[in-house]
Amino acid sequence: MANLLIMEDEVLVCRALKDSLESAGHQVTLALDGSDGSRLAASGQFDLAIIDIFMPIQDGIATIMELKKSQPSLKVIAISGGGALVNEYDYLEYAEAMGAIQCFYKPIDTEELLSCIKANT
Amino acid sequence: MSRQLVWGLAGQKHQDQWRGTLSVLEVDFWATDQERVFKEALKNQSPRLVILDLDLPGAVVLAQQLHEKRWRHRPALLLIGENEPPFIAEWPQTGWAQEPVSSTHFLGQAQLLLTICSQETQLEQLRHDLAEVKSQGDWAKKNLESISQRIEIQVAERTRELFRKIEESNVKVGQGTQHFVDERFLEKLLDALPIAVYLKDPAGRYVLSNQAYGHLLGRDRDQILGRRSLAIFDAEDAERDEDTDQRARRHGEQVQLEESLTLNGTRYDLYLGKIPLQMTGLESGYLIGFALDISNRKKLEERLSQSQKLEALGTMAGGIAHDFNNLLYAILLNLELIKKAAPQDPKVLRLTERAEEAGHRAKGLIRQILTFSAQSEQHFEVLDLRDILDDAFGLIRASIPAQIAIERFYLCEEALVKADPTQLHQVVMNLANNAAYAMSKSGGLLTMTLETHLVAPGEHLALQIRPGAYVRLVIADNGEGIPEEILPRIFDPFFTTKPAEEGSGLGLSVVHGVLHRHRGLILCSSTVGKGTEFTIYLPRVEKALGKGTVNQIGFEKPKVSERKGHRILLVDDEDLVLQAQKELLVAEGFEVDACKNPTEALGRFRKAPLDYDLVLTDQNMPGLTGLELTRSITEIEPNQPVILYSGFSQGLNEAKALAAGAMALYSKPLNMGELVMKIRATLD
Repeated sequence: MANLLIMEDEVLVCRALKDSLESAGHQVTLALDGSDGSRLAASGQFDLAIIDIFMPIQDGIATIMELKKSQPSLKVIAISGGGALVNEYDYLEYAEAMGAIQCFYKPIDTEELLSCIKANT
Repeated sequence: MSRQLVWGLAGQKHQDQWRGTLSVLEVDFWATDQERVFKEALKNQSPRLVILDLDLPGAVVLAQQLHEKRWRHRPALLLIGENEPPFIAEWPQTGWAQEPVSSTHFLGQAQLLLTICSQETQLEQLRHDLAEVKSQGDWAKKNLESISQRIEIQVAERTRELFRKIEESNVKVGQGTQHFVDERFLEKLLDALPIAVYLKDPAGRYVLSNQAYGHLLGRDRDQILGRRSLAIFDAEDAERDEDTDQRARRHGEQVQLEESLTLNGTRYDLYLGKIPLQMTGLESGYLIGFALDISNRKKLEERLSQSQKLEALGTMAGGIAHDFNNLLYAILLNLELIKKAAPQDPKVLRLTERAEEAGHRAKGLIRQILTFSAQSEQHFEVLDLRDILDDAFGLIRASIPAQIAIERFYLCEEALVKADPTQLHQVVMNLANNAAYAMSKSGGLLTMTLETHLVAPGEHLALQIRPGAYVRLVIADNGEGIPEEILPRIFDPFFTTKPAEEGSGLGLSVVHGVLHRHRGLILCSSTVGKGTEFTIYLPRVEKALGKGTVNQIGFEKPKVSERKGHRILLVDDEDLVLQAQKELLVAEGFEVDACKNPTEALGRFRKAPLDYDLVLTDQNMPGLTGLELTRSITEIEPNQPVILYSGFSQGLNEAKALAAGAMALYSKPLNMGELVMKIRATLD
């Protein structure tokens, strides 16, 4: 049972992910972009943040970098839908280099995500 | 006087008397009781004169019968009686002598009648002859008429022919004088043209053909001239050819078209032109034709459009993949939630599982599209294709039925290529699985042949890949083969002959995409019932650098990069970024000197300006900006490659960066793949 912060701009994914993680017993807070998420994270109450790479206002990479400074103990899982407009693979790799404990391509296998959360909280 | 046949019919008394009188005439006398014998004799003989005693019973009737030509022939008649019979005046060649006849008168009468008779006969003969001559004349006249008609026709024909010949020779003479060149000059001129040229007469016969045309048709000039299309092309092609000839003649203007023709069993794409020849003194209907072999261009166009199709699909797929995956994720998550919400309902579980399966297939599909459109990561390294084949062999052997034999032929010592091993593995597996599928019904032999191949600049292949050294891999099967009509489409995305659950139709398009990115080529040839052959070309590389096997040119100082790999001076005041960038670049095989402080970095560069192949620096740093650092570095070493990167709104644009001496400016967050490619391009 962990206290999770999800930053994801796609509302449909947000809601389903929230329900899915909550049904696994976790507590979930939602943010629809990186800057909103960073502000919420400042409270320090979260064990782990799940951060989407492509988000408006402040993207996932910038958010991860900011959180590494402001909340060094907050663990981060990066997620992305992939895509071709920019070389998405490198972005996820970049996120990992920035300190994300793991990166997942959507659609994500729920079991894998849950075991990753479990191992890191 | 020749003997005249004279018969007499009289009683015995008259007979004795007349025999003396008419002794010169040698009369044959019949007795009166011999009338029946007399009549019988008349059937077979023709007396010239019959002397008849009218006093005999039945004599008048007999005279009448003789006059009426009862017996085919009418003799002259000399009638003896006391009174002149009344009918005698009407009868020709009939005389009368009164009883008792004077011997002189009697003979005179008889002789006169014989003369008349004889003349009459002659006259008859003359008439007959005359008639004959006349009829001969008629025939001759007719004959003459027919001959005359024939002659007239022949004369007309000859005249026409002569006129035509005169016309033709006029044309030739006209051409000759116009150009003042002989036929050999024209022939040489036409033969020098790279385009096939010919001339056809109004009847469609070739009257002129240059060397290129002969070459195209695979025939000597004398096997072309004087012939029509039918003698040269197969029936269907010949019909089309003559149709377009007619079209050009009918409209009197140039016709140009692209057409496929079979020549000596090979299909050619040709660009054809037909131009009606209009010249004074030349009858209409002559056609100048030209033909240009555009088979290669067509093939290239097809390949290009194929590549474009793949690229377009890749771009589109890449564009939607992100959103698509997000939506797919939402769907799959909700399906999981449904399952959790109704764990006791087997029907709900079954239905959601089905939906989930479809979702996972969609996920795989997107991943595949991203692969062939190069949207996923690639790791190029120098590798030996034999290792890939060996790896693949094990997997293929394990996955295909035993009735399919596999053989490998390595016809070269090494097969080094610069490639992404995962992607090449995928190519080999894909082709091998296709081959196995083609042989799944009856079994067969799958061969993988590896050899080196040099593509010369003028070669056919050089149209599609750069000339140079290649590694060639042929994967062949003797399975059912690919029908000719679908062969051009096999590399199209989503084209498949397999049932939906067995293949998405992306396999060969992925293979095509992979080879395209490796600057290689894939070709396919196939014969139904015999098998299919895929031939792959990959640029061959020499043995890996730095392993001591490369011939180094003696006087040239080995470059830094050859000694240790490329060395990069990385400058970024952000510790996290600095470390992450360093890790990534090291992972790519670079040697990285990471420096947090730009002033210190400048000091390091000053100490050993030739040590760094590249300087990679952030713009926004305390003390010294990236731009200032770049300026200082290029002042020390004007040719030093520097790449700058910066955040979005830091007042730096590309023009400023280039002016300071940087090679490129990148925006954060950095696209590492692109950056690495740029670094490689710069350093190589």
